[in-house]
Amino acid sequence: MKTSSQSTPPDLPIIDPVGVGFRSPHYQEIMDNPPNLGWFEVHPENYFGGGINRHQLTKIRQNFPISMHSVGLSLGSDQAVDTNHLRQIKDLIDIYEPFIISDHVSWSASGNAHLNDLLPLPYNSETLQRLCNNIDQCQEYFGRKMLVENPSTYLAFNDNEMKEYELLNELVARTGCGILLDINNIYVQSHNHGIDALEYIDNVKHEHIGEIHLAGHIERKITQDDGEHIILVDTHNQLVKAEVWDLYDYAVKKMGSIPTLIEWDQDFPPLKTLVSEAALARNIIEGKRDAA
Amino acid sequence: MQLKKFQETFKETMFQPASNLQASSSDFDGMFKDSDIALHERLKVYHNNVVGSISAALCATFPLLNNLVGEDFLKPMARAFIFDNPPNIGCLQMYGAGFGYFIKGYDPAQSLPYLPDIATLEFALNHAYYATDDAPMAADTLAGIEPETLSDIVINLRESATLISSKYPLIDIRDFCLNSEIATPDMKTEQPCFILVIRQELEVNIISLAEDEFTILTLLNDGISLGIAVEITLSEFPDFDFTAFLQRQIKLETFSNNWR
Repeated sequence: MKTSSQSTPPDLPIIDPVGVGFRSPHYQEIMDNPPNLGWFEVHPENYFGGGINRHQLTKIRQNFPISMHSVGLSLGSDQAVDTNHLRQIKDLIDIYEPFIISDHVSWSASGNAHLNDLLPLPYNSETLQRLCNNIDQCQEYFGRKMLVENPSTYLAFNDNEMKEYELLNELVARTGCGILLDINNIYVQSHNHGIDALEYIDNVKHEHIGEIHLAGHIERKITQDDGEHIILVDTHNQLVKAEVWDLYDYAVKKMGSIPTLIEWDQDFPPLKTLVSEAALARNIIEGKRDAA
Repeated sequence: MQLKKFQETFKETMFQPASNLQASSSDFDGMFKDSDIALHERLKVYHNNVVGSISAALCATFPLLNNLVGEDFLKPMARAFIFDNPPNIGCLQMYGAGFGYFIKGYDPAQSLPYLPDIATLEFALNHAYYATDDAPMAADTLAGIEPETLSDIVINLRESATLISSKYPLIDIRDFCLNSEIATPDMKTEQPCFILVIRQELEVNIISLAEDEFTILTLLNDGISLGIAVEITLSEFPDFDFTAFLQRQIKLETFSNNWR
């Protein structure tokens, strides 16, 4: 059953606000029995080049809107964004016309090396300026607005000059970008760094949030001389935790319906698991959480 | 510490064994807030993510190597390669081009001399899988070219094509990896093999070539004009059948429609 258009954010080409990440092991099942999902998100880096991946994306796009969530632009690196990477994403944007383009408030490249992870940044004026320059470069190249996502981090810096949500708000004000708010990452940050998750959700600029991510995390046990400690690691290989659903419920009540993605990037479950996670999100958007 | 210096130090910390994480510099350590979890434990989370994800991507590109040597051998070899050759672009699907060359100089692999060539074959398969889509030369293209200009044309191979020659029976070794019921191939005796790896439609295939076919395709791939390539091949292989060669390669769709 498709949800009513009342729950759809305005000005978006989607009828149902809930999507999941598209992964090739699910391709045939999606084509044979189109699931009850509004859209799919893809990492554009998985579609550089040609061959079967492109072929599958073309078929998926014929049936669903898609968003593109980049993991390789390295917006927080103290260097310009790689124009070859930008060109390949722009080629995909021109072909597949995603309704959202996004990347992260993090870095992964230093010099010629790419670390393939979302690495932490000090939240200070130097970082702010660098992020703004790189977001400007991307938006100019793409000819359109992009969203930037709050990360999960496992280190905190002494010389932070602003809170994470203040950095996000400042990026919006200075570059015109939007925010991809990852609720799981806020929860991870609240555990790992003792920040106030509700204060975060209350203060991040709601009108500029273009997408929400929900994902699972794991608890990693660290044994030291003074006993055991838990650090939360954003692994995208689990069901969304109850505490994260609570925060999502809180956010939706504050912000209304926003395109929401169930993220699952390793140890892929059956498609039906993603579809039922998506149904939980849809119920929350429609104010019917208990129906799940 | 400036952002650039921080990122360089962090990168260097990641591309070395996890056992070195406790020995970072005081400038670097001083950037982070004290907490109940030790800094090296926090860095270890990143180290696991960075090295683990790159290693997983690399090992996924080389499943035959995994099959031949097992995970306990492949993983440390992959790590050693990653520390020496970190990815240089923000997309890992084409990472690992130099793995075969690296294995040649990797001490623990010296008793397995065919391993670098298997790595080369696997990277060619990976390359073919992700290569940019392009169109093959149409069957009637060559027939439409004036005979007097035919020898001057330069033919390009398809984007997905890689030519490989090896002293070892690579196709037999691959078949053995994929099917445990096949007898272990003889890897001690030299058995030259010549291979074309190419994607046809959406399927990646390994084509066994005769030595004369391999020779002329290598010349064409190096940008040598058709006439000279044929001449050189005939001088080495007087029995080379050019017509049969052309028919076979047109059928295999080896040539790109981008010729000049």
